[in-house]
Amino acid sequence: MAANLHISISAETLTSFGSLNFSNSLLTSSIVTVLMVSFFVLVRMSMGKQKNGLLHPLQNLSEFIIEGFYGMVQGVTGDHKKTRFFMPFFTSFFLFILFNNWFGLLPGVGTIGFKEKVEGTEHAVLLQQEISVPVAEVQASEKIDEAAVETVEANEVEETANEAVETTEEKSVFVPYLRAGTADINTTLALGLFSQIMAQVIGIKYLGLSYFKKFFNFKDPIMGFVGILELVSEFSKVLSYTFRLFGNIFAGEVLLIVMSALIPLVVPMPFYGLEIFVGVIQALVFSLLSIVFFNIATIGHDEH
Amino acid sequence: MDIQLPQIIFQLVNFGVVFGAIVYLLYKPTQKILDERAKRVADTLKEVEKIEEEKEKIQSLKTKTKREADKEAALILERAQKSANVKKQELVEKTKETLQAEMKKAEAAWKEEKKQLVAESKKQIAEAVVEVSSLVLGEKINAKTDEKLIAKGIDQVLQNI
Repeated sequence: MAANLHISISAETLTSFGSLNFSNSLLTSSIVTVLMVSFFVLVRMSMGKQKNGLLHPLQNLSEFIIEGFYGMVQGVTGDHKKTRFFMPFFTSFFLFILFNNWFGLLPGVGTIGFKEKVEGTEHAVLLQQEISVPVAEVQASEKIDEAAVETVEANEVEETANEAVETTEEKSVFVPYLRAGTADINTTLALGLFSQIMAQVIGIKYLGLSYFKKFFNFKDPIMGFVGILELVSEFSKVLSYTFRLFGNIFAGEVLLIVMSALIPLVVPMPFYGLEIFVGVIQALVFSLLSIVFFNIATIGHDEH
Repeated sequence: MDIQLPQIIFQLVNFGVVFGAIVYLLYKPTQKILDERAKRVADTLKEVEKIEEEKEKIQSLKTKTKREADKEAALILERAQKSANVKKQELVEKTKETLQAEMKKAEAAWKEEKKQLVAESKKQIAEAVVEVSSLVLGEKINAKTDEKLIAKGIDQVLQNI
């Protein structure tokens, strides 16, 4: 059963367009993007329409989302002007991450795909390397002319290694068509970079060039050192965003794959529920942290 | 884990598309509707406040007018009462005077009538007495003396009446 497990830490390439390796996670993200944009178009079209004297349900939903998020962001900023500016970022981060997380839980995602021959791929090379080590040792032992039994054993090992290499060359790996967008480090890195770059842009917008005082402060050595720490923390935030989201979602996928492989019936269900919850929490954590960092960027270092 | 710049850029574009769609299709129109609604509610509340103020003003004006009217009514009533009292007094006085005059008139008339009656009675009684006496005494007593006696007798009779 365990032999059927397919776990790959990086997204699998489906096809290539020049330097862009179009992976299954890019395909999933693109589908999610198209679905989201289509949904928003429907929402926009429903606005102002009434059904039996009542607002259209999609308008109600959009108002519910916007009002709910507004309250959350307002709780962080405490300033309506800032809240209005940050709202689209919060909404976009939350919904994009949430739907990418949840899309990975749909039936067929990660399970429907094709078999790809791994000839010449790193899997086969690794297998060859693992087995070629004892062969080399045995060949060395041949040179010093040891006992015939050992030669025989060495020959046997060599044969086994050759067989293994032949088998590996014929082997193929399963490549799913779809993989959760957020289970690819490129997606989470892109989001983390966007969030951190926007934090710098917002900081400059609100504080002007004095924003950089936070990093380059030469009033005294302590402040200078604090500035260096701040600068490093800006980069570490990108890493923190990237690996938190990727780690949580990828770990969730692995958990589901393992549970489904061990006991396919009923047992994975609670874990699916858990992953739905984790999807929401991770989307919320990413969006709220972004807004917190945006808000911090708007406050001068002296005000801290 | 292979980090590839083209994939990162592709995902940034994907996110940018979602961001744009959210801004122009979801956030701005919804926020506009919510702002309009909030403005309408605020306007209505302001209007209600205004109406409430107007109502209070009218109420105070009503109370003031009522108070003034009550005051005026009380004044008129008092004045009317005073005037009525004066009139009453005057009437009473006038009535008393008229009554007294009437009484005096009646008394005078009564006295006159009494006098007449007395005189008439005296005459009738005198005639009756004369007639009776003439019948009793015959012709012995002359007329002059008889008259004195008769008058005396009549006075006594009258005193006894």
